[in-house]
Formats: sequence, C-alpha cells, structure tokens
Amino acid sequence: MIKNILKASGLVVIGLLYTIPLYVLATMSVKASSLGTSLWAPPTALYLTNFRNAWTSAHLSRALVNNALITAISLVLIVFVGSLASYPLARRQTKLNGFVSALLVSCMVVPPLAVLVPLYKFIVDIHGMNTYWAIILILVTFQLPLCVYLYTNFIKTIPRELDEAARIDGCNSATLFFRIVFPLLKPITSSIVILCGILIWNDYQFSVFFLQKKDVQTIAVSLSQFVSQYQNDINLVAAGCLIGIFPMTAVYLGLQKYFIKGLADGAVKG
Amino acid sequence: MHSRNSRPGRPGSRIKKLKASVAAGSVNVMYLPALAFVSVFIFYPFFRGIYISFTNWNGYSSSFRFVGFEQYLTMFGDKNVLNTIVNTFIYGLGSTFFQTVFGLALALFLDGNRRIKSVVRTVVYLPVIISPLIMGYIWYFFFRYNGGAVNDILALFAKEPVDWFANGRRSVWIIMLVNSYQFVGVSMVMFLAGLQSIPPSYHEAAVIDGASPFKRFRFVTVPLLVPAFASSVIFNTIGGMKLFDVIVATTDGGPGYASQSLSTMMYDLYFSKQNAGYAAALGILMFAIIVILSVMLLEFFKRKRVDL
Amino acid sequence: MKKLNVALVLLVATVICGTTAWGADGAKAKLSVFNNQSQIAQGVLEAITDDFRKANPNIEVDFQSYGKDYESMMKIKMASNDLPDVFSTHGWAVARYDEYLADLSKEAWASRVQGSIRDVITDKSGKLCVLPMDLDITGMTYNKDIFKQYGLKVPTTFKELLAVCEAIKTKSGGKITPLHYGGGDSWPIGGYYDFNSTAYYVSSPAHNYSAQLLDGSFDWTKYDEISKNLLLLKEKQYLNKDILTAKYTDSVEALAKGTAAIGGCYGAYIITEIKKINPDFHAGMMPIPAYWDGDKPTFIGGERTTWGVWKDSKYVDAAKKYVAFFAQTPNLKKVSEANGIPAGLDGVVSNLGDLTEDYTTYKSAKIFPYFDRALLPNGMWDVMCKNGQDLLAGGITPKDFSDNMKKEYLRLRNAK
Repeated sequence: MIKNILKASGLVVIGLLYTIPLYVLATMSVKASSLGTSLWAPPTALYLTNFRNAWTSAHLSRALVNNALITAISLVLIVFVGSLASYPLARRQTKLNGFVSALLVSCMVVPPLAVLVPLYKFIVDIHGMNTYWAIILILVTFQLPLCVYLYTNFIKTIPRELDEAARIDGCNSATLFFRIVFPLLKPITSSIVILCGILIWNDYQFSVFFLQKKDVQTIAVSLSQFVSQYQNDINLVAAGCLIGIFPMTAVYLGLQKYFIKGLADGAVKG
Repeated sequence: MHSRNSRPGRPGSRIKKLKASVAAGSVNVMYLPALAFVSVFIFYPFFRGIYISFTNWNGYSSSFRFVGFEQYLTMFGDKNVLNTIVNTFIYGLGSTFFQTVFGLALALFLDGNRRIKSVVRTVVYLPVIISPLIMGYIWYFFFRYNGGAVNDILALFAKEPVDWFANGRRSVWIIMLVNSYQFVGVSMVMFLAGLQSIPPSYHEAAVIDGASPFKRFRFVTVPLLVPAFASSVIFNTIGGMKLFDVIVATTDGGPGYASQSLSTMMYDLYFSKQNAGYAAALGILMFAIIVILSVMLLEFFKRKRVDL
Repeated sequence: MKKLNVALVLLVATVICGTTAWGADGAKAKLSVFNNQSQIAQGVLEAITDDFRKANPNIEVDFQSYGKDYESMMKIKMASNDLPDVFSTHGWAVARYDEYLADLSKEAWASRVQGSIRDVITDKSGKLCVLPMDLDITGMTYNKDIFKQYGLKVPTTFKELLAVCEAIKTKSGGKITPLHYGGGDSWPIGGYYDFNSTAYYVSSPAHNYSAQLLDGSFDWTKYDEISKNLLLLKEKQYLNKDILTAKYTDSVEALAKGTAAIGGCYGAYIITEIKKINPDFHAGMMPIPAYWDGDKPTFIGGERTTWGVWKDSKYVDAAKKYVAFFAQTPNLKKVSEANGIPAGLDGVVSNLGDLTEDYTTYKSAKIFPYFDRALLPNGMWDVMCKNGQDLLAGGITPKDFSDNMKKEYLRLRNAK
C-alpha cells in the first residue's frame, strides 16, 4: 500500500518536473505584462494579442512553410543516400570499406563550428546563400554519419541468406537493395526520420548563417532574431517561443508511439 | 554488372558468382554519393580549417600570414583554454553521467504497460523535441535575478534572491543540469528498449536460482543493458561536448569566460576576437579530444558487450 | 546497377536544376539591407523603408534586423566578400568596413553632412563612407527626478560621482541603485571601460597617452587604475547587485521604475525605451565625469545610425537611391528623434525632448571619439567586455586585466 502511494507520488513528481517549464512559458505568454507578478502566478485574464503579435513580428507563417519544406526534402535525401551507402558497408566488410565506414562515422564528431567559416566561403562561391538547396545539402551532410551508422548496424542484423536467396532469383544489386532490403529497413528508417527530423527541424547553428533572408528563414532563426529584438517584452517572447515549439510538439503527441519506439529501435540496434 | 535475367545453372555456382561479384566491389558504388556529400561539406572545410589554424587570419580580411605552430603553442599557456576544456568535460561527461543514471532510473521506474506510466514517459521525452535554443530561453526565465521563477520561490521562504548566473562555476553546473534535464528522455528510451529486449525467462531462471532483486538487477539486467549503456554514454558525451545553443541562450559563456564551452569559445574567437586562426586551432583540439574520447568509450563497451 | 545510375543522375540533376530554379534573380532590383539598431530605431528605419517601397515599386527591399549576431554575420560576409547592398556600420565605417564601401561623396546630400562628423566617416583618400543619419553624443543618461528629490548636483569629477552615489544609496535606504549596468550583455561593461578610458588616459593634457597608444609604447600597468575603480564602485555597492547577469533591457526597466538613478554608460537612445514603460520619466544626460584634477567632463561621440553602400553591389544605383531617401529631412528627423540625438545632416531641426536643455547646457563640453575605435586596434572591444565581466566575477585581478589587454593589443597590432 505504502509502496503504491510512493510510486504514485513518484510519478506525479516526475510528471510535474517535466511540465513546469511549459506551464511557466504558457502562463507568461498569456499575460499582458509580467511587471510585479510572479512567473508562477496563473494568469488572471487571457491576453492573446501576444500570439498575434509574435506570429506577425517573427514572420512565423513563412518560417513554418520553410521549415516543413527543408525538413521534408532533407529527410528524403538522408534516407536515400544513407541507406544506399550502408548496404555495401554492412555487407562487404573489406579493409577499404571498414575505412570508409570509419571515415563516415567519424564525421559525427566534427564540431560544426570548426568548419563554419570555410564552409560559408564555399557556399557563397557556389551561389548557395539564402537558397533552400544549400542549407538542405549541408543539413543532410551533417546528419548522414549518424544515419549511415544506424543503417549499417541494422543491415548487419538482417540475415545474409535473404540477399543470397534473392540473388539466386536473379536480382542485381540495385533491385536487390530497393526491392528486398530497403523494405526491411522500415523500422530503422522511421527511427532515422524521427531523429534527424528533430535535429533538422531545430537546427540553429547552420541556418542562422546560411538563411539570411526572411523569405527562406526557419523558425529557430526567425525566433532568435525576434527574441533579441523584443528582449524587454518577455511575455511576447514567451508567446513566440510557444508558437515555435508547437508544431513539433503536436506532431510528437500525435505520433508519440512511433517516436519512442523508433528512437528505441535506433538506440538498441545501433 | 549483374545480369537481370536468370540463367540456367546450378544454384551452387550462382552463389559462387554472387560472392565473386560482391567481392569485386562494384556494389561499393552505392556509397559514393554519401562520400561525395561528406567530402564536399565536411572534409574540404575541415582541411581548410586546419590550414587556417596555421595562420593568423582575423576571419575576414584578405591578408594574413603563416605562423606555423604558434596558435597551438599559445593554447598551452592560455588559462581560458584550460578552464574551457574543464567546462567542456563537465558539459560532456557530467550530462552523460546524469542522463545515464537518471535515464536508467526513469526507465526502470516507468517500464510497464500502465497508462499513467506511458503518459509520464511521453512527458519526460517531450523536451527532447524542443529546440535547445528555446529550452535555454525558458530556463533563463527561471534563473533570472529579477523576477526569475526560482528566486520567486526563494522569496516565499523570505530568502534573499540569488544571482544564479553571476558565478561561473555555478553557471556551468546549471547549464549542465539543464542539458541533462532536456535530454534525459533519450537515455530513458534507450534503456526502456534495452529492458524490453531482455527475455522474461532470464529473470524467471534467476528467481528459481534464488537470486535477490538486487542480484538479479546486477547480474541479469545490467549486463544485458550494455548496448543501451553504450548508446547512452557515447551519444550524450558527443552531444554534451559540442554544447552550444543552451549556453548562448543562458549565459552566453559569461561571466567573462567562465561558462564557455569549446564551441562558444571558438565562436567568440572567430567573431568577436577576430582570431580565426586561433579558433581554428581550437577546433582541431576539440576534434582531437572528441575523437580520442569516443574511441576509448567504443573500445570499453566493445569488451563489455554480452550478446543474447 | 542501371537503376542506381539513373537515380544518381536524377539526384545530381535535381541539385543542379534547383540551383537555377531557386537561385535566379529577376529583372527587378533587389536590395538586401542589414541593420543592428535597437528596437525603436529599427521600427523607424523599417517604417521609412516601407515608404521607400511605396515610392519605388520597381525596387524590392529585403530589410533585416540583427541583434547581437550582427557583427558575427558581417564578419563572415566580409570574409566571403558577400555583403548586403546597404548596411549599418555601427561605428566602424572607416576602421573596418572602408574597403567594402562605395564612395558617397558625390551624392546630393553629401554637402549637408555636419562638420563634426565628416572627418569621422571620411577615409584617408577622401572617400565619404556612409550617410550619418544622426550624431552620437553619449554620456550617462540619468533620472532627473531622483537628483532633484535628493538635491544632488550633476557630478563633474570621479570624486563627485562617488559622493553622489553615496548620497543616493544612503538617502534611498539602499532602495535605489546609483549606477546601473546591464553587464550580462557584456557590452555595457565594455562601455564603462571605453567611456572612462577617455577621461583617464586621453582628455587630461597631463595624462594624455594617445600617442603611446597609437605607437604601441603605452605602459599597460597604468590601466590597473580603471579596473580598481570599477571594483571600488562594486565594493561600495553603488552598482546593481545583478551586474553580471542583468541585460540592457533590465537597465531600461530599472531606470523606468526609478529603482536605478544613472544608466552607467547609456546614451540618449535608452530614453525612448524607458518612456515606453514610464512616459513620465524625466531624462537627463550628463557628460562622463573627469578623472584627473583640473580636467573637464567629456562626451563620447561619433557615428551611430549610418547606411553604407557595398561597392560591389549588383544594384549600386538602387542602393544609393535608398540611402538618399533616408537623407530627406523628414526622414532624418524621425531617426534622430528616435535616438534622441541631433541629425547628421545640416538643416534638420529635431525635437530632442528632455535633452534639448542638456545639449544646450553642455554645448561647450568636448566630444571625444570612442576610445577603442580611435586608439586601439580593431578587435579590442570584446576583450574589454569579457575581461570586465571576469574582473567583476572575481576571476581575475586588475593586474590580470591589464596584462590581458596588453597581450591582445600586441597581437591585434601585429596582425595588421
């Protein structure tokens, strides 16, 4: 009995600990001003103008479209290029491929800042500033190592006999890969889509430098400019932040089963 | 190239042919696009970064000169670099420690099918999907001196407000905890998956042998969770060592240089100090540290691995 | 394998087509405009830009505002020779941006540039680098009501400043912070050093080290004094308790609510922001108190709100047209009033509100250029900001501060 009460209160405490920041953010966002009131105090009236102002001042409608576009195209490319690369790396474990594999995976530890300035110069030279394709290629590249790592490990768990059986039926490598292997990768693909999706959606380090025009800016960039501009109106800022985290949260709550399962598969198989 | 038409012949010889073709390596073409991506957008700029680390380039002007190893030599005598490396390790290893310990505790506690548990799991995982930058802003509102949420609580107990981020050491720990708090869900999910992959029969067998719950945990659960430990430790270490967004949103590396990580220090050197050469050298150092650390961790876990 | 090849070709094709489809420019002139002004001035610039768009439908303007990322952004842009068509030069028109700026001396408005700023924004070859929309005259903004209430006179020396601070602290029972710095943003700490350096090391003839600072022979142990006095102010509790974490916006709030008396190093631009919170605020501006006996208080001045045109812009003419639009009298008036300082061109009569009186009172006070811009190599500003924070946090001593200044000073000088 006591054990159950302890357990139940444990659950409540953990639950509260993880809802408090959102509670504070939400109450801040619906207050007209926070002068003289505690951040903890529930709002006395709903002041929704903050949301409208934040939506327009931070150009969030445009940013949302950009985010969706950049994330979607990046994910398609990541899955395609990543899974394709992993097949030979998992199946043909020669010295060369071991080296290539290590090379690709080691990119995971390259600090983005260490390459930022040369990268920027390069992007300008190839006329990639403020274009979707440049930021997409960069984001894809920096997610590829993780993606290849997860795919390679997953493919290693698929019995080789399957490939061999397919070969006997006359498949060549490409057909074999797309018809037989790729469909089997569904669980890890969904993990990768979720993992990389989150990271790309939230990217700030690259986007802030390569997307300098409002037409192409994503939520994180628009929002950071908005925050530095309206720093003294924390209620407005809170409303902006809340709008900023809303799309991802909605997707997450709607598809949470897949999120947690997908991530778990990625973690354990990886 | 393999023919798409099946030809007559014994299966055995086809398998041999297949093995020959895989051995021939034409299948390797499939990783060329990925290699092209990383070569263009990671290797090329990375090597240019090394080149820059041997110059005194200020980050924007067209003239600079070679200084050899000067930047690297300066690094050893630089108090700020030493302090920043210590911070980076606190961010990396500290977060890893908290995320792993609490991630495991949460996984053990929240494992199960009860609805309430799954709701709490969802809530604990929620911050993972929130942009770290926004998370940093939220926690900044908590630890502000004036009207911060934490000082509001102190005021309830008639305590003087504390200027949380005014002390460098304290800031480092707060930022580390904020990062752990946000990403503990990742470790939790890794451990949950690990727990669920342990066949119940193992535990049953241990019960029959008369093992205590602690012994079952120590000798059945923990060894079988090694892959989950490995993922949790390696991912969180690399992520924590590269920490950037949260620091920018809370202390911006301050006061002074006290809460900087190698990432924010590089940013500061590149853009505020006009010392791109030094920043590049620091980038190489950071790269080296992370590579060595990851290799060590990988080796460590490889030895501990137990296959089911 | 064939399918794979096809897929690869498609991938490459998509990327290449993408380049042309997304990267192409139309026939219309497209201006990219970058600025780093504070919130209110930014609003004014954007409103004028809107008017410009209406008047010039064939010119598209992408107006971007950046906060603290501005300098980083501009540095990367300089590194890759890809600047915005029109941009703010935040005090660095000549020292940093000169080689990227188009000459504006042939513009119709050029003859109206005020004499006191003309030299500041003209380079050695006689090139006029930017349009100065206003003239920076910065001292310390303070709350006139608090001074009146406690019967205080504006301090003219550092000793008088200490006395004024003591009076405010004791008479308010510790409720009012004498000097407020938003040190969490780090630049206000840099402001303390920059503004006071003029009083310590430049303005007094007996202690003028300009020549030594320029030729590299300055004895940096002399610089301990300015740090020691910052610690003195802190020790005596004349500074806000949260100096290490308060942001500039906290200074605005503290001054507006009357919990702080003097804004450590904030110029007139802060007044508009204070008045948004407290419209009844009575603002005053005092020059920086003198440090040495016999010296007079000083103002700091130079360029503030400017537009420069990138010399390699594809649309130089459209850019110049945009800049000329801001040079029109009514537009300049708006900008200068938003910042609370005089306009940069002749013939503009701005209503400077509370400060009209102070500008008259201190008409004879000497205006010095920013210490770091005039006498230190480019890049020292951040050293003052961050080391100042470090000093206040107890991480380093005044001696360490001076040593660090010397080290970076020598490095940046040699890098030139």
